[in-house]
Amino acid sequence: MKVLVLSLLRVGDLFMHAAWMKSFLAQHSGAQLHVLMNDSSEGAVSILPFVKQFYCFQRNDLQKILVERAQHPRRALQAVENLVDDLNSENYDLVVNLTHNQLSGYLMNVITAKKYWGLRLNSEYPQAKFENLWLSYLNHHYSEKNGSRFHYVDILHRAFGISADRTHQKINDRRGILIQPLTSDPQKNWGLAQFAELKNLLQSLMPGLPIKILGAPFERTDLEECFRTEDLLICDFATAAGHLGRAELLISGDTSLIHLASLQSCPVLGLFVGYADPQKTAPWNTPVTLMRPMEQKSLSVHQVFQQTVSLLTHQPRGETSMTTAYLTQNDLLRLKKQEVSLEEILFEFESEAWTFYLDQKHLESVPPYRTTVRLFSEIYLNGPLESERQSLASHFLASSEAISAQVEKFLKLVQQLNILSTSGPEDAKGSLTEVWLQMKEWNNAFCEQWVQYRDQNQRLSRALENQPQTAFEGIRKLKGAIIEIESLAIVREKLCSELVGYLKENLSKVNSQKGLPHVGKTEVGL
Amino acid sequence: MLDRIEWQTKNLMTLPFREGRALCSQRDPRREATLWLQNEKKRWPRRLAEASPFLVLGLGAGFHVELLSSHLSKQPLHVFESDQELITKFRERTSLQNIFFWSESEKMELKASLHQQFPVVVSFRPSWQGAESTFIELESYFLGSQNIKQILQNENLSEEKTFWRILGEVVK
Repeated sequence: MKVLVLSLLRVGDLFMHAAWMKSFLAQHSGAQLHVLMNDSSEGAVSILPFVKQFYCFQRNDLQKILVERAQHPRRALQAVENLVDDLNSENYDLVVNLTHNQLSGYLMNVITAKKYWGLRLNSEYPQAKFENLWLSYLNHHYSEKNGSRFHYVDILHRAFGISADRTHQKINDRRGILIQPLTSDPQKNWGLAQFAELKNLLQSLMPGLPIKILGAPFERTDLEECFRTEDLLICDFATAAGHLGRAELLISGDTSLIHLASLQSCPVLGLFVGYADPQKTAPWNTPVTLMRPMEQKSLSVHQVFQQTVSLLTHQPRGETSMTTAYLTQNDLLRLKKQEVSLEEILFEFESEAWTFYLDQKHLESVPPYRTTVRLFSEIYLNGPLESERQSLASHFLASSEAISAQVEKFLKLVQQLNILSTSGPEDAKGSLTEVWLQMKEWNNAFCEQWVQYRDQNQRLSRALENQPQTAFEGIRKLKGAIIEIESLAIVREKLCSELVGYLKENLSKVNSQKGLPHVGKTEVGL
Repeated sequence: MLDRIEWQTKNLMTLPFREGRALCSQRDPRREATLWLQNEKKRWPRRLAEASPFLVLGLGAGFHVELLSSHLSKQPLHVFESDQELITKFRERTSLQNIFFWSESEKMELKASLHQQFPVVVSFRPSWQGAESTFIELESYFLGSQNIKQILQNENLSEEKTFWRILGEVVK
């Protein structure tokens, strides 16, 4: 099987896509993988030996032609046509769009293949149609300002029915620390001076330990201001990959290097400063510890130093130390957490509800509610004393009922909108404004009360931004969001009743002294 | 077109003037050419330019053409100049062989010859003085009169529509 993967984002995304490709190849051993990538990612070619052929989309050149007007726009058209001709001569069996943007969607439409996975846009009708709800989720929850419940790579696995291959490359003689102080955006940088201080502290504690500073050639001048030249490893991705393959830890901000480290199974201490969102783009498949300060300056050198020392001395190699909210079912089974907060339990439980909802087109592969609840309980609720279980059961039940009641109110407003859509325009105009306002108010109240589940209403919030001219148009705008809210409510209710039942059944059996869940102050619920 | 060019010596260099206006810097034309090339290079598509001919619009004293010629490795270099006299003088002064010169009388031929090759167009505007309309017309011909946004507004894109849309995304 000959497969083309479209990976037309930045190089860090290509490394994350590479993780998906490895999983794909593990499942389709005979497949021959080709990749279409941007010219800016060319440096990554030698790091991905499992890719048989790379094709380059000359994005920078095309931009220069079209923006700088160095050549006739038809030169750009000719270049894309030539590229597509080359791709079409490969006779692909399958083309997979991991990029999920409009550019890749249109490209999918001109590349010929027997089968297509992912976004494909027709230039005549450029409305996106998604093959499944995971792709729809990716579309609606992955804009910069929106949060996500699932990791980017996990969504890609789920969307295309690929089991995650999380095998680690075992290297026992890893030695030394690598530090990547700079990111592509100053807002995501912790600070060169802080990194320099951290390096000095670590070096004074462990004089024999090699600690090197990684950087790209264009970062040299900045790095030389804070570090000695002999401590710098100014190199390309291929050389960096070699170093990461031997290092015992990479300390870095949210950069492409953390994803390269992940491919090399190098443990990562990630300093996610600013808007960097680990929920979406933390290293996907390597031991990772994350520090996420609210502000750039609130993460002290001492804190990072202590965390590094702790990782080097206590952390069992190959174990993940992060509370990963985006872990898949299998990962949850592997991760026997002993200490877990109520917030984490609720977040994970809500993620289960989302997974059920998003998987609805693959019902045959989804374990039934009862099994899921049992697995979930074994991992997250394995240990609380009887009284804690009881309060947890009441908490789940109460919040589930409260949310259901609120959803019902919302559905009544939807019903009003439906009625308005069939009445005359004159009668409907004033009432539409009123209903629309009530929906906005309902949405604001929900988001304020159920902070933990705000993401449920992201789609609705966006759809409600501008009031439409007619109620019919309004129904069309809200359709996807309404289905999402309604379906989630049903799934959540079923899961919750199973969980409450399970907790009650097992109340008398529990008498363990293991770690208790910490019940936080925040009023969150299902 | 004849006898429009005058030559004056400035700072020990003989420089061309058209209708009394200098066709390059009178103070330091070599430095002007160096800066021009530095700026122009930033505009060129790295890979795609390697496979395209170059077309310089405007010869003037020719320092920029000499510099560009030494910079290009294998791409053919074409130069359009409205005044034949400037071309003749340049040829006398330099021994550069691999440059294709086109004058006003060969304009139609130039268009026919390079139209399908989409040359990288580099304009040396100081040398356009007094003949602006000719150069503007040629620049517009080789670079197209519409930008990508205007092209996408055209409803008759037919089969090429998806490709133009792809390019529209590239510049978003």
